[in-house]
Amino acid sequence: MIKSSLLSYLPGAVVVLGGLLFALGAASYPLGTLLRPGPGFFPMVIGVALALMGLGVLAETRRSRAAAGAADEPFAWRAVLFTVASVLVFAFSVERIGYVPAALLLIAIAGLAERRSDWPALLLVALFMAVFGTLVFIWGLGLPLKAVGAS
Amino acid sequence: MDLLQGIETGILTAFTWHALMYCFIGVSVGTFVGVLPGIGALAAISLALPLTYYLDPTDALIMLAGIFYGAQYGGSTASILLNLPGTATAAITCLDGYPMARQGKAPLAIFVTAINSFVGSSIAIVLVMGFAPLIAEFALEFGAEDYFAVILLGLVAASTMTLGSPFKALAMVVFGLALGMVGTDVNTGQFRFTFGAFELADGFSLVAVAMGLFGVAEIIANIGQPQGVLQKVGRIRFTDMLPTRSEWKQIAWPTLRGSAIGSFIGALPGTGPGIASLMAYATEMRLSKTPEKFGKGALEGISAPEAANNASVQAAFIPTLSLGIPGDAVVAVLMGAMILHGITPGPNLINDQPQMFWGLIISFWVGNLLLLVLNIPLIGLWVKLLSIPYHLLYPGILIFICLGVYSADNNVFDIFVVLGFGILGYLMRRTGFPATPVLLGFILGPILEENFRRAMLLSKGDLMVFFESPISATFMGLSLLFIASVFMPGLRARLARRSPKFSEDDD
Amino acid sequence: MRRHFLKGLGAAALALTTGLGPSAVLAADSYPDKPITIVVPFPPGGSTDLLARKIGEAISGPLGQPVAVENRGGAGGTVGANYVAKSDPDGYTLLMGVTGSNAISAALRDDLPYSPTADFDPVSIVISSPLVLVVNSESDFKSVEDVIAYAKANPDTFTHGTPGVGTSMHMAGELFALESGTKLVHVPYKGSAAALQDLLGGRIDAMFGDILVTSEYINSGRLRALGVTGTQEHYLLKDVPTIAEAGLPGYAAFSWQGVFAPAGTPPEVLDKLYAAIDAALKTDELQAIFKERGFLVEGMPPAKSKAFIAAEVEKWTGVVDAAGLKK
Repeated sequence: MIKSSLLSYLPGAVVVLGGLLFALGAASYPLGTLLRPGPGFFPMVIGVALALMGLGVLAETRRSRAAAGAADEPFAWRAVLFTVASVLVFAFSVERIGYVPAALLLIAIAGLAERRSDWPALLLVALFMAVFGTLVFIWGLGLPLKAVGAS
Repeated sequence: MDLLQGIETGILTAFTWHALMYCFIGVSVGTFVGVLPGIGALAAISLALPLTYYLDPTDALIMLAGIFYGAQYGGSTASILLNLPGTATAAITCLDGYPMARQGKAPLAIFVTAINSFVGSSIAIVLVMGFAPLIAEFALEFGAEDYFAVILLGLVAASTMTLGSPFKALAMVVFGLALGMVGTDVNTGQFRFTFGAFELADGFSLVAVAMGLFGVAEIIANIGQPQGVLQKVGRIRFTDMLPTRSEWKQIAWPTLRGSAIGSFIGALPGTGPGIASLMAYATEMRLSKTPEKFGKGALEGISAPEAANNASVQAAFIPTLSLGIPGDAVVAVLMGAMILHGITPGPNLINDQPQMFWGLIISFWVGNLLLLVLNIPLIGLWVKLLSIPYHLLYPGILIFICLGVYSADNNVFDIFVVLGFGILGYLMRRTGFPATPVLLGFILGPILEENFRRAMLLSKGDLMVFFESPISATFMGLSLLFIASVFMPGLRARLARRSPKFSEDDD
Repeated sequence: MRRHFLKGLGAAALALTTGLGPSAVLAADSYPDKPITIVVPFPPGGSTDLLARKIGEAISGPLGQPVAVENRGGAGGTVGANYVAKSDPDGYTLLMGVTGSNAISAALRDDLPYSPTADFDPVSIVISSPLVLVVNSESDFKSVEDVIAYAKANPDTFTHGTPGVGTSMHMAGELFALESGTKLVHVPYKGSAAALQDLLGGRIDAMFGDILVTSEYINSGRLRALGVTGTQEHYLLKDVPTIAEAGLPGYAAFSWQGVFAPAGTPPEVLDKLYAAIDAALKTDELQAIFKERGFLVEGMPPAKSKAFIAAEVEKWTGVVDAAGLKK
């Protein structure tokens, strides 16, 4: 219980931290003045404002903690993991092995995100995407990719 | 040349078989690329550009312009059905369009966006016909301080819609502003927060941010859910699309107001349809008697922004055709097309090329009518997409997202960006941080900063410029009114009843 | 027989000096045997894109291979330039480089991930285009001398708008200030249309603008041309003197565009490409298109182009350093 209540403060804390880090980054650029703002001026104001908003979020959490204890859905580890993996693989491979194999890899990996995947149907999806994507994006819109092979 | 004579010239030009044909090709291609998430009109126009070398310049422009405004019709489809916005405008349409789709009202939502696109366009076209030179001269009166004041009003309006869960929503507006700072500082050329990545020198791509926060996050949240999106798509009857009499009444004023806002913003070079829809949405929410319905499938929430979006796209031709100053990036490419054809846009274009000017304007009418006729039968087809089980749909959507962001600069880097924002968007959903304010801050922040600093540079650091210019003073006053309306007692009681506007992403 | 031998010897020597294997040299003989790509470091629709497409179309026939244009925009052309700089030096990936990507950026930025001089072998500087100094026709400035006199009397007051830091318009303004001994206020915009808008609205004093675009406003009487930045009068603006003639002797600034290959590309390949480009530039079609667009056809050969780039980098480095603009 203590653990989960501490956890509920985490988002606000992240916002505060993000604001401070942003302000810190802004400090590395010339600040200028209000009347002659430099490149660091707006980011500095924004960083500080973000940190303040984060404090507000923390205060809000404190006020509504009792109510906020609603049972969350479990974090979708599986979905996040396989979605990320599939897109990363696509990004790294599409210029090296071509669109069609990269798309097949993406579909295969993304398909694992579901506990029970309908593989035969996914194969149809893959076929469709291979043909449609090649026609529309490579042939039609002229993206500098090859259907198969390095571009 | 007076108006009637102009219209006659235009009709003679636009109603030749070849002009009609190219108009049809243009709007069809436009609708099609508009539906593909992340592929904007820009890509399609650039692609079609070389194909128009051998056409008559007027035909070429009719076709290219058709792609441009045709894409606006298609753009809302993916947002409504899949929460997948490819543009800033589409992200606003997502707010109420996607909830409508989840309630099984996708046909109605798409139908209303089509009708409203038509109405918004028509109103703006009337303005282009009657008053283009006048409006363009008025737009020239807008200096940096005036732009600042207009955008500030937009930001204030957008921020005050976030009542209910103020800090989380406001934090996200500010977070959006921060994201907007990434890239090259316009005034000094300094790279800010690019961490040595040259790909970030132009900042994050709007498409990647929007499709990440909305689209990818939506996919992650939906995977593994027993029933992803709605499943009860049966046979679509025409009556499912048609608004009822009371619904027509409900959207009438928002549509007109949206068209007015869109025409105004569109005529100002350098703003764009995203800001127009955003302001229209904020205005409707402020004026509505039932603001708590916004974000949950309010019809006004899609009708005003859609009208504004299309009005602004047509109005963007005002400064282009009467002054040679392109209203936004896509119109700039159209100007490039004119130059290719040996027509240099400038202050004399309307007089020097009456046939082209009037032909183009009349073709806007033709094109918008064609789009209406083209899009309404397609509604059934689009909605059928939803009958595909989600576990088969999402791998395909992921590919569309990847290719969509890649196409902007042909750079894999943007795929990483969209993925990063997708994960962030999912985390934000889980912790109750709304995504839309991020986008608002991201779009408005850079324009705000740029114009503030330019105003200071040109006035030699005199803050009074914001109150001395009548235009700026007016908008500053409106911003104050907006803020005051939040704190005024009578209104406050009303506002207190509002539910959080942006924090109900996940029902 | 003997000639073949000599040729082989030459090839071997070349391979030693350039660090390439003999196979690369042999490949140069059969070049091109696959499609060529010209990278345009900007989104489609602009003048660089047009130029690349026209050149690509024109050289494709003589070279006997398709030539594709690829748009890789970003960061004022440096993202695309960097992409080509890191590509294989085989003549199949070329860059349509511009003043910004292949000269000014080197002067302006320490952290540029490529060097315009060391990482590229220029094929040809294809065209150049001078700019024109324009003011609002309602302003009191009637000549370059007026501007200089005013700016001398009122330092940090005369404003000139540009499409951004490090553009050739910006550099033209900085060079003007440097050579006239004045201090101008640089007002950067996102793109030249926004700057033009403020010039027409009377909020900035002047801008160094594109000749074709501004000529419409000059002819319609909304803008006044005070001088062109080239070394001679421009055919689109008859009766407008050069800035050098009009009060600032020796002043010259212009933007240019050219085809670049990654450093280490075999000279034979460069020569083959140059021959094709040179022939293309002499066709009536390209001459007409360039003339309409306000370009001056240059068509410099590789060696001359290389020297030209070196001179440009040096020139703008001097201006950037003097103006204290280095990032």
